[in-house]
This record gives sequence, C-alpha cells and structure tokens, in this order.
Amino acid sequence: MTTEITIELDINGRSETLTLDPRVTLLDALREHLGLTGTKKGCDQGQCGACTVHVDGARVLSCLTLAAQAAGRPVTTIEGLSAPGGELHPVQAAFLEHDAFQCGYCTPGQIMSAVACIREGHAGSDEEIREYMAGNLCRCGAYPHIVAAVRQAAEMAS
Amino acid sequence: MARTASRNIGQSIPRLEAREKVTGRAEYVHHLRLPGMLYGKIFRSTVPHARIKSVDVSAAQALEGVYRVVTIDDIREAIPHPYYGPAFHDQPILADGKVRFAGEPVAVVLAADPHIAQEAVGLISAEYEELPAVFDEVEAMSSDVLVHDVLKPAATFPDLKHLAGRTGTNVALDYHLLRGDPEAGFAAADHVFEHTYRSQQVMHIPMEPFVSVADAADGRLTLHTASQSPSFVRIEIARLLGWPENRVRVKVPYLGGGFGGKLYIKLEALVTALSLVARRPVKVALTMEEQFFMVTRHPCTFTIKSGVNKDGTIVARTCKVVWNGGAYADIGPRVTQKAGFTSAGPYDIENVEIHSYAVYTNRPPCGALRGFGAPQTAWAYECHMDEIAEALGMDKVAFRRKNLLQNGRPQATGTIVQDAALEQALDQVADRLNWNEPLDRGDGRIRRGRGIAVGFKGITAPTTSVAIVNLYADGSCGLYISTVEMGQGSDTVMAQIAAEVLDMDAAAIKVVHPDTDVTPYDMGTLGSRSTFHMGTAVRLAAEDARKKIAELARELGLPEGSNLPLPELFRRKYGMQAGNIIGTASFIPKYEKPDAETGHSRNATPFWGVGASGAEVEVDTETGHYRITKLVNVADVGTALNPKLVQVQLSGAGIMQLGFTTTEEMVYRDGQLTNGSLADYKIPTLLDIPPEFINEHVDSEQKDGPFGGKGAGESTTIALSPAIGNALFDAVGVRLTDLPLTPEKIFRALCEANGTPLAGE
Amino acid sequence: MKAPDFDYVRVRSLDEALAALAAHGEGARILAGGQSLVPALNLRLLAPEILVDIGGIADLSGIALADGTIRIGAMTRHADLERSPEIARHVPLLARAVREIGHPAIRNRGTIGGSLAHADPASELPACVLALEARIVARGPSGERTIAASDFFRGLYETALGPDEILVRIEIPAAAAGERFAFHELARRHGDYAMAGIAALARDTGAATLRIAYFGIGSRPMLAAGAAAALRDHGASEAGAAAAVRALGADLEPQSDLQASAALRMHLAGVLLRRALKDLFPDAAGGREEEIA
Repeated sequence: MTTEITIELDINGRSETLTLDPRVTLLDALREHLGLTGTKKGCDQGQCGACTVHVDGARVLSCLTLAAQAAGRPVTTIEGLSAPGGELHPVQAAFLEHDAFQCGYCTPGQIMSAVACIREGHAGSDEEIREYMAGNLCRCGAYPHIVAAVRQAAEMAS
Repeated sequence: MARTASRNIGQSIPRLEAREKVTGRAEYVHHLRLPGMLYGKIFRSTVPHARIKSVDVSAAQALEGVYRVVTIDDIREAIPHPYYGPAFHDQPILADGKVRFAGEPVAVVLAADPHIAQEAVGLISAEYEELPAVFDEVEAMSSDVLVHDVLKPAATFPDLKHLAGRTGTNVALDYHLLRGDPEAGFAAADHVFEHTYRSQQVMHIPMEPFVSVADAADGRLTLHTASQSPSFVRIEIARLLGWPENRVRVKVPYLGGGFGGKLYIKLEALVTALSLVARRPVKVALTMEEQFFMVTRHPCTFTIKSGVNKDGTIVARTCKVVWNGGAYADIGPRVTQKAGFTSAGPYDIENVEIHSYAVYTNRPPCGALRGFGAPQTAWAYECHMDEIAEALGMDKVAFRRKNLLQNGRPQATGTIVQDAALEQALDQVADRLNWNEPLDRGDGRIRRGRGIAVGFKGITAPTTSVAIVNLYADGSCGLYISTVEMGQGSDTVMAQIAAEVLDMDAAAIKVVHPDTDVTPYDMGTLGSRSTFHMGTAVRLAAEDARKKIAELARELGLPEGSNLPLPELFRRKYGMQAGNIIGTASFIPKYEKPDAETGHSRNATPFWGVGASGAEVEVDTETGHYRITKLVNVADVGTALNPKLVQVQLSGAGIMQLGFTTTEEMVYRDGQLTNGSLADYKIPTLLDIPPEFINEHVDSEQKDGPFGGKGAGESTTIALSPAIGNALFDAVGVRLTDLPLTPEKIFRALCEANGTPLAGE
Repeated sequence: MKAPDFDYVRVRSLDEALAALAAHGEGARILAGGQSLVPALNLRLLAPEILVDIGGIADLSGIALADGTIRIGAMTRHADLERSPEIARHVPLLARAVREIGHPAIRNRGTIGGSLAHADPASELPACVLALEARIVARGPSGERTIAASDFFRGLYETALGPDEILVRIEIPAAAAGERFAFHELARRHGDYAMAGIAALARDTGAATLRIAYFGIGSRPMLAAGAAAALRDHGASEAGAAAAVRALGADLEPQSDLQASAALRMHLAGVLLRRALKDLFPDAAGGREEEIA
C-alpha cells in the first residue's frame, strides 16, 4: 500500500501543507484538495492544455506533474492572476475584449499559457503565437480570436 | 432601418459572462461536490455484441472504500423499466442481459473516493457469449445480425410520432420523399450520373467531458447536469420514475461545450438510478476517453444519382442515404429525417426521390452533432455537383447557380423557400476566392486548386420555447429561460432582445440559468433553434411585460405616455419597493407534418440554415500532404443580432468541421475503437487554421425572426468538407469519396491514377 | 490519480538515487520530467513499486562545452536546449529538432535524459543522438560507463540501460566547420508525433561522414547505414540519391499503425531522404524544396 507524503505547496503566494498519496497530480491537488477549480481537467493526459499552470514561472501541464514534483516551487494558477473583483490581468482583459473563447472551459489554460508565451518572448508575430500556443486546444474553435488577444496583450506588454 | 440606431440589436455587446470565464470562476457541473456525494465509475463491455453470462463484482465490492457495485438488477429496484431514449426507448441504463457495443456500461462502482471507485472497476470481470456483430451501415440494412430483437418507439416528440421501425430488421426509421417522376426524368435526361460518398464516425469532444450529479431523497430529485436540454431531461426522468414533473428538478450551469452531444438523456438516467439505489448524491464524470462511448456523429453512406440536360439543368435526382446509428437510436431518427429531406441539396429539381434510413449497428450510439446530418449529406451532393460540372465542362459556380433554389420556389417537400440567401452566400464565397481570376496551379511537385460548395438545412420542428421576463420593484430585470449557455452566446443575445423591447441595456439584465423549478420549458438548445425560437419567445414575453406596465399605469390613472419610471409605478401601486411584473410568452412556429408516403409538407421547417464555403489548397504530390491556404465561410444568419458573437460562431463551427474533414475519425478493429483518446484522435489546433481564414455573413433578414435574426451555430459546418474535397480534386485530379481527407488517401489515389503502386503492396 | 499504487522518493544526490535503485531493482523507475512516464502510469502501462524523483539533483542539469564536446546533463529540460546559445551554435540539429517536441508546456518539464531513456521510436531526440554520434553516459553501482548512441536503443521502449543504472549525461561532438544537418518530419497534424521523420548530419561538405537516422518509422530509431554507404559511393547526385533510396529497403523496418501503413512509411522515408539531401548538398541535389508537413 502506498505511503502518503506530506508536502508544502506554494500556490499563488500562499503556503499550503498537504498530506496526500504520491500519485496525486498537481491538477488534482489544486482541484480536489485545495478547491481551486479555475484550473480545468480536460483530457487529464497531457494532450489538451486545459490544466496549464505556472511552476517556477514556466507553463506546465498540471495533469502531467505530480504534486510532489511541485513541492517548494512557486505555483501560479488562474486564481492568482487577478484578485476577485479586482482589475483583470492584461491577458485576461485582452481575451475578454477579443471574445477569445466561447464555452470558457479551456480559457484558464489558454490564458496561463498566453501569459507565459508572452513572457518567453514567443508572441512576436501571429505565426509565432500560433506555434507557441498550439498546445492549448479549444474545441469551440476560438483560435483566430485567441491569436488576436495574445497579440494585443503582447503589444501592450512590450 | 430602426435597428441601426438600437443600442442593443446589431451591437457587439461583450458576453455577459465574459469576466467569470476569463477569471476561471465560471460555474460548471464538473466542479460540483455535494455533502455525502458518491462517485460512480463505469465498468464497460469489452466486446461489441454478446449475451452477458455473468458479471463478477465480488472483488470490487470487497475493496475497502467501495460503497456499492451496481448492475441493471439493482437499478430495476428503483426503475422497473430502465430503458430510455428520445426516439426509441431502446437504451438500458446499464447493459441488460446483452451488450451491443464495445464500451457499453455494464456495471458501476460507487465510492466516496473516485480513485477507489476507479480501482474497483478494474477488479470487475464479465463473461460473455459473443454474438455475430454488424458495424457497417450498408451491411446492417440487410444483415441477419439484429442489434435489437424488438423496436420500442418512444412517441415523445410530434415529429417522430410516426416512428415504428421495421420489425425484424435493423432499420429504425425509413424516411421517404417523392416529388414528380425521377425514373421518367432520368430516361429523358441527356446524361445520368451516379456516385457514392461516405462520411466517417466522429465525436463532439467537448472539453468538459459529460458529467451529471443526481441527488434523490424523500421522493424528490435534483439533477445538476451538463445538459443542452434540461426540459427534456425532466420529462424523460419523470417518465422513467413514474413521478410528476414537479418532483424532478434539473439545473444546468455553464456547459464546457456541447455541440449536440449533451442533448436529450445522457448520464442523467444513470445518476438518477444510482442515487435512488444508494440513497446518496451521486456524480458520474466521464473521462475524455469515455466520451467516445457516449454519443457520436453518424457515419453515412449516400448514393446520389442525377439526370442532367446538356445545358446543365438537373431534371431528376434520387438519394439513398443510409445512416449508421450505432447501438442505440438516440436522436438518430430525427437526424435521418431532417437531413433526409434536404439531401437532394439546395437545388430546384422537378423530380426527386429520397430514401433515408437510420440503421442500428454494433457501434457506440450516434446522435446530433452540429448540423443534424446536413454536413454528411452536403459532402455527397456537393462533391456530386462538382463531378457533374466537371463532366459537362461547366464552371462549377455557374452550374450551381443555374440550379439553385430561389426564394419563392418549392423545395423538394413542397415547402416554399423563404429568406434563404443561397445565391448571395455562394456569390460571396466566389467573390472572396476571386473565382473569376485564374489560379496559379503550379506544375511541379506542389499543385494548387480551389473548390466551392453550398448547402442548407431544415430546422427541427415543431418545437416550443417559453420565456419569462420578471421586472423587479427597483426596475431591474431577470430573464428566465431554459436555453443553455454553452459558449454560443445565448445569455447575451437573449438579454439583447429583451433589452431592446424594454428599452434597457442588455448588460443590466440578469439571465437566470436553466432550473426547471424556476425557468420555463424549452425544447432544447440545439439545431440552431435558440435565436429564432427562444429569441421570439423572449421578445413576446418582454412585450407582454410592457403591456402589463402600461396596464399598471392605466390602473394608477396615469395619462397615456406619462413614462413614469417603473420603480415609481411599483411604489404607487404597493406603497413601497415591492411587487413584480411578469411578462411571459411561448412560441411554436407553424409546421405541417410531412406526408408519411410522399414526404410532402407545406411547412417543413421554420427557417433555412444556409452556408457556403470555399477553399484553396496546396498539395504535395510526393506525399499527399496538403495545406489549406485559404478558407472562406459565408452564412446566412438573418440579421446578425450580435456581430462579434456571430463571428466566433461561424469561425468556430468552421474549425470544428475542418477537423471532421481532415483528421478526425473513430477507427475500429473488430468493433473495438482503437483511437479513443486525444493522443490518437486528432482535433484541430491553432496550427491547423488556414493562413487566410474568412468568415462572414451575408446581408439578409429572417423576416419572421426576432429583429430579423436566426440561428448561426451550424451554418458553416454544412459546405466546408466538399469545398475542400473539390479543391483537392481541382489541384491534383483525384476524387476522394470518403471522409476524412487524409494525405495517405490522396497519395494512394495519386498512385492509382498514375499507375505507380507503392512498393511492397 | 489513475496510476497504480507506488511509493515516491525525492532524492538529493546521485548516490541516493543509485541506492534507491539498488534497493528496489526492477520495481523502481526514475522520474525525470514525467512527461512520458506520468501518462504511461495513468494508462497503467507501468506499475513501479517506487518512483525515484531525480528532479532535485542540481548537478544533473546543464550544458557545457569542453574539449570540442558538448555535455548535456540528463535533467536538462527541452526548453533549456531550445534557449541555449551553446546548443544553437554547437549542436544546431538538436536546436532545430527540440522545437518539434510536443508543445512549450511539455518542453518546460520534459528532459533530454528522460526522452532518451524512454526511447519512444516516434520521438525526435533518439534519432538526433544517433545522427550526432552522441555518447550516452550512465552511472551504476560500479561507476560510470559510456554507451555509443548506436548501441543504446535496443527496441520498442528498450535501451541498454541496466535497472541499476541512471542516465547522467549526453556527450556530443561540437559541430565542426562546414558541418551540415537536415531535419524533416511528416506528421498527421502539426505538433504531433511524426509518422516519419529524418535527422541527418554531415560533418563536412562531402557525403563521406554522412549519418542518416530515422524516427517514427519502426520500433526504434534507426540509422540508415546502407543509404549512407550508397551516398559515400555515388555522391549526392541523382544516381546516388536513387541508390540510397533503394538501400532504405534493407536499412529500415517500417511498421503499420493508425498514422500510416508500412508501405507508405517506406515511401515517405525515401521522400524525406531526398529532401534531406537537398538541404545537405544543395549543389549536387538541387535547391531546397518547399515543404507541406
């Protein structure tokens, strides 16, 4: 039988101590243990990008990261991007302005991915945005609008 | 026109729910946890057709943390006749003595911890006596293998009341239309062409997989479900339980995508039964992989034959459309009938005969998917149109235009076409493709081509929508509707319509989400119907509220046109901030049931969905790989009530159909799905979007629609596949008849055309 | 949490990691970036007793150039390779190929050591290290040993690593002046695993040093030795290219799967070889061609 482990997670600047089965992914730790449901479970297999969060400031798939692997490293989720009722992050505002979503389910992952994409310097042209945002699936097909939103947010950031 | 001055209609008002969605705070059933809730995980059949000899659940039951393992025998305790379905009551809540497709639910493990439930599923085993199975729709038409021994029509919906099925066969619905005398037409025609085309099985893949939660206690039931049709869920669950509707409450928050998948009954009957058996709230949330076993789009084999005169006039056409419905009918009979009656295409043809058959096979069930069958039929009739034009040496746009149905002319059913901008859409696509300019086709390894197609669809009828506009004492407004916001923008558009009548800002209106205890009946969020049907109901309900405001003013003795603010009216009436004004209305459009023999109807559809597409492609003749360099979609949406929302609907539907055209296909080996995950089943990514991607609507108006509007969610799915298939033919001279259009198929067709088979074959 | 039961240990040093392997034998699996391992666990394709997380061993990552050799620590992330000026300058083939691995979020966690040890026949890096004549360094209980890339990949997900060994670094000869490479892949959808791919390297301007490696074709990454020999003999002329394509029949063992049939794969291997030759020897083989991947 598996031995549970105790880990300390740094989520959106808050320290959270969890005792859990080592099989628990970062995604399940966020959603099931911490009630942070902004991060979405789509395929749970590393194929869709709906669960994208930042670890150490870099975008990762939380479904392919064990919670234990994130221990001690800063994790940012969509909830950490802007305060409730507060001003939206520029990428969120750009998604809103460009209607870069329909059902909204993939949107937190798209936005977390876009924030990182801009920070990495991979949002210099539409072509580059397409390449570096291609890991985030949107079944509603808001892709042209996503490119426009990322482009605008990147221009504002530069 | 007045609407140009409107602050609501025709304005690109941002989605009312935009902030919730970009902050990740939007509510989905996927997040829901209730106190004491159990999770259900499904044990599925591993064989496509078999009698169940035994199911051994003992090891699963013994696993620590397992609450209970449930089979159909347990479900019968709660629901004595556990069969459901919108067209046939053919689907058991869990397999009942037989399994009819590989992946069918056989048993469910309930546990407080979903991971324990999943582990226990792995401990269940079943013994089967395998039966011969049938997978192909054409084979199933005449096969001795019967998927169902007895057919059980449901008789819920008026358009499907005539359903009987053909006893002793796999045919669930046999739709027939006859206009004129096609045989005589063929005999008199200068040329006769006949071709067969096939569409593959694909899946909706909503990013939020199917999920439902049932909470049954003390003779009452609350369902929280990711459903596009809460009203139908209530009706069907109440029927299964033998309860009055008012003891079943169905609540639907936002949906993480639906696309026709989350319609009618899906997991709701199962979670209801589980909750009744367990006496605890129960949640069943499918994985992405399990979604492929829930509902899919029909594969289809379509043989189309046309008699054409030298001048390009089509004088006769026959269509034989066979729809692979999978193991359970779901809404397949409606797909068969609705897509059946338009399967001769948007053309003015004197002699037409259509046979459209829904057949059962041993595959996962098939239902509605963004187009209700129209994309499958257009794939056939629009490739066929190009093949004819090619043979006659006619320009492909001119040939279509010559035969196109004009407003005022009868469609094959006899229904007079109105407000269908077919020619406008076709011309706009041709214009965007610079159709009359020559194209550089290349002469080396890379060849270029372009293609065009146009199509239409009828709308499910007759269906009803009911709306309630509730004006509160401070003058603010709640809009109570059972239309499901699944990304299409219905909350916003319905608020715009109500606001327009009430002279308010759309953003100030609160749209109350479906809750059958609170929001009134709606047939379903499906088939492009909401803007037209619910939109009209909302308009009428808002007008009713206005009328009641005027009555109140009169009652208070105010002179006509006094325009006293509403809060003041309430204060004068009730002496304080109190009371409500409730406007309500229902809407059902005119409809005439098609004649069972001839399919004739003077009113077969409330309106027409129209879409035209054009594509330019580059093909690498060494590999068959191709690139779509330009894609144009033009739809008739009537007046665009919210142009920005219309835009994302049109491009989104186009991108979805692009996947169905180029990469998506459920692949089977011996009845087993071999690619049922996003790792192997490829949906479009950002890199699949053509560099030039144009989505537009024509300038038009649906005269009887709310402020001229009509549905926009499916139109660009209709003609996209044949536009690409026709472009590929134009580029390299090989005709692919079967979707999807893969590089390997193109390359093999080129090899065959050049007489250079692949080495080793 | 769909994976079978396992224990987890995060080690701080290689010795600790080796000790964990020694204690658990075949029951232990090394967890590097987890981008292949976690899905495999979730699909229950693997059922280790214990995962040994080497993510905390700092000296396992990094890229260094010394004595004409680039040394890449096993835990170096794909994203680090992608951003590294050393890699861009001294191993441009790797810089090119790494952009095709999954998507950015995958590349931020996936590691070169993990990718090589996983030995997925459809992935890019194994073929690249074959073409690059890389040496793979493993540490076991009795110290380090060096394995030539051509001896490393044994079969489907099978390598020369022993159960008590850890892949610690990869050593690649830095690019010489005049070195050229070619990299092409054909995928069903952009960003996917290739249905056929080629990584080729010529250490100088002639065909004498040419190494051609394929991925996505058979059950392991493969060197096309016969094709390279044909090109050495005939040069990269049309005759040489034709002979090389013929030789692929004996070099490769293509397989059929959902993506493509074996016969199509063999054809695509020939097409990719001709494209690679155009990149490597533009004068002999004619200019570069446009690609629709």
